[in-house]
Amino acid sequence: MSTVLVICEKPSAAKRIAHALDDNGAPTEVKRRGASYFQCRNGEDTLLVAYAKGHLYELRQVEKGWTYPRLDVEWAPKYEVVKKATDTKAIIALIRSLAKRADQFIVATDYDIEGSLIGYLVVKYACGADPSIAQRMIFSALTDKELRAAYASRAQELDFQLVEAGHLRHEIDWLYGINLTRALTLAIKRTAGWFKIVSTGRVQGPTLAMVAARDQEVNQFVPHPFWSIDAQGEWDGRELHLKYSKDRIDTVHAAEEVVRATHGQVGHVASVRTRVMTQKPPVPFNLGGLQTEAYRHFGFKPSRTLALAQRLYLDALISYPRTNNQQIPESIDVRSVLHGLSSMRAYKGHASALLSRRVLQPTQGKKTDPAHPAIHPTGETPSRRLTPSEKRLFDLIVKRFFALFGPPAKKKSVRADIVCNDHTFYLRGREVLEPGWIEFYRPYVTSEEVEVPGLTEGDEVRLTRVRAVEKYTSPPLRFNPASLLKSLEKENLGTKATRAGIVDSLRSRGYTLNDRFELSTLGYAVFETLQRHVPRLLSVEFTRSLEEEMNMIQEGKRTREEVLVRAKEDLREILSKFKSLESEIGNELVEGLQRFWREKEEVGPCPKCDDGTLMIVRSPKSGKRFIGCSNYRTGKCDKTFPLPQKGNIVVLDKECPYCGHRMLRITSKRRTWETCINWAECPGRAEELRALEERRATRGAKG
Amino acid sequence: MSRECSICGRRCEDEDELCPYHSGALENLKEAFVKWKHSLGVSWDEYLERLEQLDTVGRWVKEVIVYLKDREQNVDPTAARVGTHD
Ligand SMILES: [Zn+2]
Repeated sequence: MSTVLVICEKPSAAKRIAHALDDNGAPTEVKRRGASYFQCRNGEDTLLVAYAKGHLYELRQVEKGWTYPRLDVEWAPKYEVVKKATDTKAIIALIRSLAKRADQFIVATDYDIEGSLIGYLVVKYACGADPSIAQRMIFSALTDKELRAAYASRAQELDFQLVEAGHLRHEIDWLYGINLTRALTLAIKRTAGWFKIVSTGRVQGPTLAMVAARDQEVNQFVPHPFWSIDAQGEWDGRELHLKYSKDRIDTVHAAEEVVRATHGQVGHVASVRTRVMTQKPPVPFNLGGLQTEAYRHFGFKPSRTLALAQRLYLDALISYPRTNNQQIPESIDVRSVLHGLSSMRAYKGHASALLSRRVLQPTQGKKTDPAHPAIHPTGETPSRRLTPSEKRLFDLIVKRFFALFGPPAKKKSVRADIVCNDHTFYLRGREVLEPGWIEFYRPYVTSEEVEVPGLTEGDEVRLTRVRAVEKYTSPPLRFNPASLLKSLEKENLGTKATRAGIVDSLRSRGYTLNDRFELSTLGYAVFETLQRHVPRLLSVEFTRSLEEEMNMIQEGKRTREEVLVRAKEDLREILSKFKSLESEIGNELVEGLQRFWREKEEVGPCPKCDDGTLMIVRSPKSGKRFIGCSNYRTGKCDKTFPLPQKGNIVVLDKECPYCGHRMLRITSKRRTWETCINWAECPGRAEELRALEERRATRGAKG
Repeated sequence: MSRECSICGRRCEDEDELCPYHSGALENLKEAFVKWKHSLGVSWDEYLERLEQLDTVGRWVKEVIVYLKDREQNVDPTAARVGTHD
């Protein structure tokens, strides 16, 4: 008969674990001063199921002072490091007192680097126990069945390789992030006396460099003209939309030549070719795949998808989402998952159709992850009402799961070539012969069909209209949150757990202007300074090699100390170079910041006086912001424009089509919109306002 | 200390009048003109005129065009013009 302390990662996970492990499925929650735990009976044993709230311990420097270098760190209770984290105090105190009653410790946090580290730190510091005696529950979903199995077959030892890898990752990210941010910030302070935090980090540097490179391409882009041919033909009394054999014609002369030779002429069908293709189902979702697809269909940012998936996981509806795996291993009982899904009205049809098959073999992807399977539904039904966003993500995950078992889709494509005076036009048709898996994955896949008329070789087609259309080449696309995340994944930068946060941080630090990842002047200032003086911090190779060494720890091929010593040496070298160039670096950053602030505030020339500049200013009395003329101070001009008081304002490089005043983009929490500075009086804006009010009125009438 | 970019105030390399970003934009502008001339037979001035109407022209390229035009207005018309090939 033992008393076992089970350590979970979050309160909601603790509740599920307690429920699964209690013999009667009815654990008692015991509340104690701002924290709680669950008490269960499991056979002869008493289980005390306690929870952390993510990390309860954080790194801090050993030596005091807001300066650099600071290369020695220690773990401390989170509430001592992060002032706001007061709730961790009660939790640590509770775990400490429970540990005194316990004679066994089981870590039941998520099975990944962070989870393993959280559990290890709690055992070591909060329980004051020797981590080598603790045991480990390993699971990929929070269903009763899986949790009971994980408890019965728990490992007799913690996963020390994961713990070491996590420990090192935290140390290195702390060392680089804190020291480099202080170096940049202090360079500014010592140059200009301002205190403005300018941050960078180990992965943030190369990410910034990727965004900067793309931004430069867009800013330096010059389109080229080209022509495409737009053609219509007539066959058997029917109108056909034809394509020309070349999609791009380089000169206006050549394009006009095509029109001259074919417009109004008769061509002949030279060939008709038919091809039948099969298309295999898509592969199972890993986190990156889910994030890309959710962005494509719902516009969810990767960080949002991860947060939503995390909630679905805590509700035991889906398996653990932070996985790289694209495979559904045989150990997963897919029939019971489908059986569970068939009890939901929305999924009954597809689930039953699949269950009626004798063999259920999912398509598999290439990527694997030893810790967790690909993301899949567990078959549990929601025990609460899901939010609309959760519902959409869940639907996507369920339907992708169904699609894995669907037969290949069969498609037919037909191409008919029509030749007229040595110019070839063609007509392409597509038809789905057998939808296969597509049936299961709707609406997340569309099978666009284009009808193919029954042309046969030798048929005459009259070209009723042939036109040359002038077009221009397009600039490279800027990143969006999903494509940037994908590039990080491709370059092997960061981990599946950290990438979404890094993508968000560029924006939240003011380095980019919006979700289109347009680099701000501040972003450029930091990028340029680093590029000139410490280019290694922007280098993908440098970051990636460290990343690879960290992975080797997880595989047991390197020790934490080895890698840490090397990383500290590298950092020390970078920081001493930084220090020797401090005033130069400071000057450049200050120049960049001044440009950034000037651009942020400058709206453009004043329409009233000759030489004034309109600026965004704040009234010293009311604190309200508005646009005023720079000649106001000398009493020469009193032109002002009102501004909305909430939201972030970006001055755009374009003018209002109605009144010619400068345009602004305003981003508030709820929406983003564009308006001119003259909105209070602009005739165009009045029209927009009226339309908006009408929309509101009709919505009001409906609701 | 090197001189400042006539367009944005960033530092220039060596004796350039423009920073590396705006120099790069000018370089692209000149290169693309060869293609435009081949495709459409336009003159340099017509070319700039048309680019000003296009939304996809890069921000720095647009700034370079404004800079070239301003310069032309303030410069002795008999002097060599920047940016024109032949
Ligand atoms: Zn410049």
